[in-house]
Amino acid sequence: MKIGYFPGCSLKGMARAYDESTKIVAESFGIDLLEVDDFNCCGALEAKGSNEKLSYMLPARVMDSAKGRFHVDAVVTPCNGCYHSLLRTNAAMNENADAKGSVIKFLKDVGYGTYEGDIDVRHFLELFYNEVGPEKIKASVKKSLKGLKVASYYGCLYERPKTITKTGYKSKRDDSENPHFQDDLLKATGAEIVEFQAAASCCGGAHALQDESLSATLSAAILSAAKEAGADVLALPCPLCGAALDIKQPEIIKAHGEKAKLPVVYFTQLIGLSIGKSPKELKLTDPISNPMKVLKAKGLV
Amino acid sequence: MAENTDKMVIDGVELTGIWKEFLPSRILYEDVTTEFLDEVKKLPGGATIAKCYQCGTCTGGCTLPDFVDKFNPRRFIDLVRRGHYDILVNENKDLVWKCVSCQRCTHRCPRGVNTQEVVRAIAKFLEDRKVFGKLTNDEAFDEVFMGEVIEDGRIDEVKIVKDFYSKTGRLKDMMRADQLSLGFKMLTSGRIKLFGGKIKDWKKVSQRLKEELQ
Repeated sequence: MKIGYFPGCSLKGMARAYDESTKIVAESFGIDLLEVDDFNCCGALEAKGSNEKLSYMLPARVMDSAKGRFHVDAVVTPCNGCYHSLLRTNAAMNENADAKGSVIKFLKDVGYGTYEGDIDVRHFLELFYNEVGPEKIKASVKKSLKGLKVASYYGCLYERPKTITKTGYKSKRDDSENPHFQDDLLKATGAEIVEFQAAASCCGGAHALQDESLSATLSAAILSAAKEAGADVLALPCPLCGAALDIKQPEIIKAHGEKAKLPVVYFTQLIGLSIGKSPKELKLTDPISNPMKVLKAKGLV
Repeated sequence: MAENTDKMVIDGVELTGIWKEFLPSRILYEDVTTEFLDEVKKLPGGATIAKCYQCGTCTGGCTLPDFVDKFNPRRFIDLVRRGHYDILVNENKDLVWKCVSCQRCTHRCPRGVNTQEVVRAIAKFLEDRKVFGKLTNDEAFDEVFMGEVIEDGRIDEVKIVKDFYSKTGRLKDMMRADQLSLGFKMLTSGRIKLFGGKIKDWKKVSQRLKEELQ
């Protein structure tokens, strides 16, 4: 199976730790990612609120490049936001002839003109769970994360809404109300997953700049719930949640106190650590919330 | 609901003629339209608003009511549909735009209403009617974001923040000591690139996207 890799804008900027750790764990387990290096922004929430057709054209160009250049069978992205935009475009192209027509015309004008809504879109967490899975991780663990308590957080767009993720129709998707793929993968590293009610709650990241105080309140609710559950770190599969929960954490603590202080890491960083990759390669010093301190205290780095 | 409404017997009691009154329908069929409903339907994401049958599943699972008093997507939709423009503006204009797009409503809606996008369309409906008296943060961010995407193809996080703060008159917030030290850490660790990647042949795509917006 040929897989196109769409990192998205965040992973080439502030979330580079997610980009690099994703590539490291993919390579370590034999997943060949063909990076769509001429990708453009998926349009995020802003395109779909501004112009319907543009909100399909931007993701479609990424898919067209993956198909036209690399002849891929699927495109995978580690970003919940990009995942949502690509799936939403696929749904529109398959269910709305008018949208499909204008997108294809656009692609013929500016790109390869090969994409017709016919490539599978996958989230890296889902792909890694299904193609690698907990058993293979368990067999590859060099440094068990035993003793590390992890709150496994998924964010909003990972398996929502079912109208576009087709959860329940596509057998490989995670459970949208009670996701567990990340829990299962991290358990395989030896880490302990804490009972945590806010696993699929919203961090407010979509309004991190537009409505800062509400966004900080939502983020604080997640961080403090994880901390109360006894977590040493919070692991996640989304760079936008990463921006809201990690980069914004100093501001969140200022408004809501120390109860919201908790190191945040990408799940790929923890998997990488368990299979013997170095903190440096995995960019574990990147997060503002400083996971290195607790990892050192636990003797894991 | 049953088509034959002349006779209805429940538990041996004949309810002919009155049963409709104690089971009032909350369904507004798709052919019931108002001026506002038609307008919202045409906005990006607004197309499915008329499918709503007011069950309240969206609002029951909504992230915001715990944090924002009186935030109620079901009510926003109902007000548009009934044409209660004054209530929408006076009591709800400062609520509608607060949606954080968590998608629980859309995910759970039994009628296939794209609730999150409908709520955004209602906010846009109010923005278009200038009820806020100024550029809202959402409008400002959308403009800055889309401008950058169309021009360069990708988002530069620092530029976006700077342009957004500048457009909303808050540049001084970006110059606070904690923000500057965060920026310094990002820059020295190589996560802010002053000369971001350019996409080959983006000019042609950019031109075509601009034509689409005309």
